[in-house]
Amino acid sequence: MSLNKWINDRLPIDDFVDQHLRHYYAPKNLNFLYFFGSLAMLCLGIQILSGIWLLMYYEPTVETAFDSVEYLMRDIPFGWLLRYTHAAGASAFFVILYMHVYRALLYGSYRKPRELLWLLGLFLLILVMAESYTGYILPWGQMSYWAAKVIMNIFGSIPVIGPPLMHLIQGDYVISEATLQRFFAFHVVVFPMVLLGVVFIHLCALHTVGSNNPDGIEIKDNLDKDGIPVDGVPFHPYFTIKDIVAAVVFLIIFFAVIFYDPTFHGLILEKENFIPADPLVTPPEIKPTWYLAPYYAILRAVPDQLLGALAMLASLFIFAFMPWLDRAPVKSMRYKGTRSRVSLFLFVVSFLSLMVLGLLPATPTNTILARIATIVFFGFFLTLPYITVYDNHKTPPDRVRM
Amino acid sequence: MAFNHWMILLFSVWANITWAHGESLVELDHAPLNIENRDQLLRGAKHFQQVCLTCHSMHYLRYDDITQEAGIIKERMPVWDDLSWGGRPPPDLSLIVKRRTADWLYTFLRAYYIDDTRPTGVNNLVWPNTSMPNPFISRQGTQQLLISEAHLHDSKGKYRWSQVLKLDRPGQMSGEEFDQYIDDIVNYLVYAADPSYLKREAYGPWVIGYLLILLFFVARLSMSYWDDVKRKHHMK
Amino acid sequence: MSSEDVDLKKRKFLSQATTAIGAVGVCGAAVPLISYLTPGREAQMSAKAVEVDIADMKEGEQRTVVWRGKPIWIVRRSVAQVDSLKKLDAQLSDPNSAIEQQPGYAQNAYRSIRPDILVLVGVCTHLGCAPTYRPEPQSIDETWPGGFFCSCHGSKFDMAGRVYKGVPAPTNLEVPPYHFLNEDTIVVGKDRA
Repeated sequence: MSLNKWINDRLPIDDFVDQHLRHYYAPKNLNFLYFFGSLAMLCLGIQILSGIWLLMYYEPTVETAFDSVEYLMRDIPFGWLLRYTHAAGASAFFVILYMHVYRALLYGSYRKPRELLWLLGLFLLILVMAESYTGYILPWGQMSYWAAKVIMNIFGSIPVIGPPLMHLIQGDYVISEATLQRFFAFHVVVFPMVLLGVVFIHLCALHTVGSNNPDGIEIKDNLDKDGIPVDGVPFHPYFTIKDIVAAVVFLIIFFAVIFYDPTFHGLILEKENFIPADPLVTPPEIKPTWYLAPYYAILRAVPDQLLGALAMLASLFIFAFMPWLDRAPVKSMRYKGTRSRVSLFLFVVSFLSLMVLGLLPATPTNTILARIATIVFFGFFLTLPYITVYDNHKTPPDRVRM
Repeated sequence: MAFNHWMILLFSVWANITWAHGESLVELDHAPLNIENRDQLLRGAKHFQQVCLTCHSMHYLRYDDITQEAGIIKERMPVWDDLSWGGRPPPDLSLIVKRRTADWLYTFLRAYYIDDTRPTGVNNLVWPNTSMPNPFISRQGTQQLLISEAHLHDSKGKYRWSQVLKLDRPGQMSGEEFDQYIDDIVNYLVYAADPSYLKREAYGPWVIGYLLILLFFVARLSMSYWDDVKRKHHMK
Repeated sequence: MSSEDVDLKKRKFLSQATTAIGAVGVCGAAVPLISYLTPGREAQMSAKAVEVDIADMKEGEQRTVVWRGKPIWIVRRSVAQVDSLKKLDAQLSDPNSAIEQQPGYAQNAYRSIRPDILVLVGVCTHLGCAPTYRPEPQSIDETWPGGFFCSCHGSKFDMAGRVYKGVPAPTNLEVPPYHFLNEDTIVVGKDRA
């Protein structure tokens, strides 16, 4: 009796691999936009590994946080590599997640039967935002401190419950060591744990409904006599190897940034964050990190403080309604009509504009532009039920194209 | 190494788009950086030890050999109270390049001119009304502003510092000597802000080269598998 | 058919090559992760040699300095203390310092370069406690000629750090590398260049 059999009689590893890799069929026409799911998992892995290593020298107190980061970058072998990897990893994570979401919007991956998959994905996106926000405060530089303060004041602007809520989150009346230490606890324990759990559920949901594809037709509608989708290929080896190719390409770009421009001229690590936090001196301009800039731009675009905060929240949660706002008879943009295409294009332009505007100072021109972009952003969702019904959609083919 | 130069060029295109000059009244000179040159770094560290260390500390660079060899040791670093110097004590310089830039420092340190209205007796084109006195006056000599300050503010960023300043009393060093002297210090400060720079540049080509080789094999393997799928698809 | 055979051969080669190259990459990635765990630069600096001025030490005086985070004892032994070493051989477990607990230049009757100056790592070879210097005769038992006593588990060492028989400590106390810069200065942590 082999060891393999002994283990599999007690723990069905082989069955699991068969079911989820060798006999899990993915559409054979998936294109490069479908790499971003596995790349997101790679990124999560990189972040967890580099995070654990950073944890070995980082000290979460007001006196030592900044110094311990500088110490590990200078005096610990390869400390600089791990720190830059963790910082660049956060930005890479968001590039990947935004591409992942864009793919879903393009090919209608949120449509029935994948509504729950979409909602879980949105929850993951918000979790990663919370993770990056709590992580951003940890180096205790000027931007860490002031960005945390600005976000806390958004909570504080909620009527009645705002100030007590803000004090509850901060653990003090100002951003202080209490805030630093609880953010540390959330960043290294709470959010990563929840994140891993929800990633697992996200994958369970994916393997139940199967991947969508660029043609937006269900491969499960075309089964051969053995009950296998004729347009599907086993995930392993076909997509494992393809995903590895994508991972290597990703790593080439990722390490080029780390070795040649690790702060990416202030987009990954801001200049101001190389000054230790000083509660008495506000930096000349407080910028959010680029991946949170679109939401910050929406906040600033609305003239009322409370309504601005609500608009910012809405800009995230409105994605949850996508499965029910889109009423087109087809899923994929390949077969949707002109209006749907223009609408998605304008949405992407507005999102990117908001990202740029969120990083720029709020001059009168920029504010007007941000308002226009905000209207376009929300207009995409609000007009979707009409546009998708009154449009010249095409009929998708019965079988996927390759 | 040629590969490294290309990579840096690739990223510096982006730098030129995003880099703002801030409050400087003149266009900044480009600082010649040569971090790989250990002799120059050591020279810069020694200049730093002789001049800058009087007021500025180098808090995060404590254990590397260049800094130690130049005699910049922890025990000799000045420690200022937060309230000294009218609440603006001379800052620690270990990370100054990250806040400013090498070009900014390279221009700033040479763009002092005589201005009797300032308590220090000097003013600066790159950082107007700075509270830092000119520590290099004996080496550089004194410079006079050729145009009026009002004109200078109107034409912000149009001139270079050498076009609007004139050396009226030479110092111990010639112009070229002094440029080299400041460049040594700036190089050391660039190194101090991120000593990993040298290592990053050394590892970069190896890591990326390795990944390119891996990519070649993985891509070929992937194509070999996907040929099956494509052949079957077109047979039907 | 034959073309497919060639294809499979090629695929097998490619997949073996990829696995091999990938394994190299994993090992490469492990290098920074493992080096990160080795002592940092500050620890390396504290591993540097320590200079000790012994000009003002009186006979019988003991002094402790720190090298690599460990206590280093320096004792200026009196003539009487040096003489006491010769009579103890029968009671010691390694009187000739056969076990390598000292650099070659300290493998002699005094376990030191100069008979009067003793340099020892002040860590008990049993379980790492810190023994104490007890020079007074009869202070531990009736026959105690003076030496080092570890109160943790009762290990006894003579005035050269040699361990007595019948105590828990297995070997003599360690002698660190050291040399004399001049008559009055010891450099601990480095053999003579």
